[in-house]
Amino acid sequence: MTAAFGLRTRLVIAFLLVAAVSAVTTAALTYREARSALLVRAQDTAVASFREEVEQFVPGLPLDPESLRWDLYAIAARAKPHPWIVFAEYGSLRASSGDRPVSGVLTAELRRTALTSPHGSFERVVKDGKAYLTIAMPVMTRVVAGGDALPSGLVLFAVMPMTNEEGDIDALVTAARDGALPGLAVALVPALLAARSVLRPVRALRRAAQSMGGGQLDTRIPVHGRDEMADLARTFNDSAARLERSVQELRDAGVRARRFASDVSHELRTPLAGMLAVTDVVDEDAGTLDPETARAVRLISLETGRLAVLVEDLMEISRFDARAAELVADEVDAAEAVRSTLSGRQWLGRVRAELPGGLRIRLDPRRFDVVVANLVGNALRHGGEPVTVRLSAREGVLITEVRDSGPGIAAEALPHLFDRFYKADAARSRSSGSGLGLAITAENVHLHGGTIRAENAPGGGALFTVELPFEGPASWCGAPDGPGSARGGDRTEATS
Amino acid sequence: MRKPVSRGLPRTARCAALLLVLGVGPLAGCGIQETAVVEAGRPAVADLLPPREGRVLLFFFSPDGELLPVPRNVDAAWRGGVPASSMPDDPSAPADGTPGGNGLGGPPPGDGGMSGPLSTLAAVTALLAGPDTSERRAGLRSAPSLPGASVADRIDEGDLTVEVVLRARVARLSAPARDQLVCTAAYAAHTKGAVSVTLVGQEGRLPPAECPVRPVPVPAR
Repeated sequence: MTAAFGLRTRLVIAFLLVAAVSAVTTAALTYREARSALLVRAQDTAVASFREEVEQFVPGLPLDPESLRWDLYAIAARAKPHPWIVFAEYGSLRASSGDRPVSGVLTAELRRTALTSPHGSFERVVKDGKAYLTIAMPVMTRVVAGGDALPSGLVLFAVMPMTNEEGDIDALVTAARDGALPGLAVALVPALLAARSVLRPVRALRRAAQSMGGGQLDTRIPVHGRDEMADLARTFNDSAARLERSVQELRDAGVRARRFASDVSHELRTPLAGMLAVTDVVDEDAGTLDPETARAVRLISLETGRLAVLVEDLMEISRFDARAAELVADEVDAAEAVRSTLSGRQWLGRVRAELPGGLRIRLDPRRFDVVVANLVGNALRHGGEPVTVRLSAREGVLITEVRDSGPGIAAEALPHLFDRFYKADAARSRSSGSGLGLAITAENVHLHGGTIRAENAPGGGALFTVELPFEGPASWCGAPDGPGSARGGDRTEATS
Repeated sequence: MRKPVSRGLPRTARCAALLLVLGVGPLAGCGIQETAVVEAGRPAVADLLPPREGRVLLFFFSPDGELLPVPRNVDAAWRGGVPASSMPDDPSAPADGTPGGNGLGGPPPGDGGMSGPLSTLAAVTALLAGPDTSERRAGLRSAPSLPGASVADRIDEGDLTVEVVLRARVARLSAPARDQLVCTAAYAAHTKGAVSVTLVGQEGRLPPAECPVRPVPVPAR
């Protein structure tokens, strides 16, 4: 949400910035032009009319101060466009139409220019925050009527406060500001609309990506228009389609492979049953055959039996893969269950059992029997005696530990111990196991919602630890078809 | 996602600052600004001088050091080239002779701009006598090295040349003093001062010179 907010904010800010810059620039340029025009008009009018009045009313030489002042009054009375005060300077003579003969606004530079340049000139002066237009008008005198002229040394100055122009220009600023601010406010509307039109597809994309991440591979985005966002949506849809197709192919391949394994085991089962019956019979008569044939017959019988076990294990694994394994839970005494497993296989004499009574647990006795039998059988076959089976309880789980006194498990083999057909020792490849025993054990434990791990015990020997929840698989059973089984397997490997 | 956002904002901020500076820049300086001195068209031109018959044009320096044409009214006839009324406070003004040949303020304006030597002499004498009271009040003055009124001896006028003979050493005259003499003599001898003037003293003569203050065509704008 913060990202979307940030994008919207940035879009709106960018929009407003562009609007602000254009509005301010336009207003500023307009203002400058208008101000310049205003001032130029006032100045030109003032200079022209001042020259005109001076030429009409200037006193002759030699100057008479009294009549000079009256002439200045006459010029001042005809001020245009605004009232001005007229000052006259001739040598050291000073006179004005105002109360003071000398103005404080006139600059030395203007005086110098008036004396040296044969032109009228003006200067805008700001004094005490007020703007004045000061005009210097040197007076030239003709030596003959209508002919060339000499500088007379007389300079007339006009000082005109630009109060009206200041008012007009302030009005211009106000107008520019009042125009620009509503413009910005108006620009906010398209800014928000633009941000919305950009953000809507972005939000749709985010929702779609989220739903794809959640496993909904058939998620698609509606494509509107032909802009970049539409391109993005189209690309997203294409990628999603390809991803969905790939995943579907993978799934189909997995399903096909599992079904094939299942079918093969099923097909093998029937002929194997027949072969087993035959080998049983032949086995009984082996004593009557000559030794060579008898050994061959026993070998066939042994391998056929092993093949039968392998097929059974394969079918069991196929059931797990197809999520067809069913749990027939019952409340049993854990010690009883273990003891019956051991006694059923005549292991009671070879295994040291520490089985405290009173540990009641909900589990599938048949599967628990498979788990214990596999682990103990494994320990007896590959580890060294004595083998210990110990039950304990901790934090709501039943802990079943099977420990042997053998050389332990090679470190590089530990992570793969529960993989299918993994054999820790290449030399033992011809052992009696199918290679699926530990894998089936792990699947059974996971089916109960428990965990299994293998490690090397501190005192030597391998130690397998199975933890099963006392409440049974109820909590886990709620989603028997979910990915829990596979995940459970992963977890097992990670902890082992 | 985070990083580009956090890196993008300062960039946006920088852009914003830049754009604001660009945008607000033209607005800097509202109201009316001062200007330098701006030339605006031609000066005022008027006929400030009294009619030529009734005045004599002298050249004095203003307090700013500029050589200015200063008319002095002559309401009486020339007496010995010096208008008596023009020098009321100058007792040293020579009063030699009666209204002479050139008596009434020189020749009429229509005679080619030349005036008689006597009126020229009167102008030079008046110049050497210095500014009168009202002229002094206006700050007008002569160059310090200009000699007194009594040194003007005679004027020899030729065709477009004027010789001013002084009873003084002309070599001692400073350049401003020479300009005063040359201009006064030139404008007295010619309406537009378009003659070359030679100052002649007791020890010799200076090269001919023209008045630096010459009438110019009035600029149209």
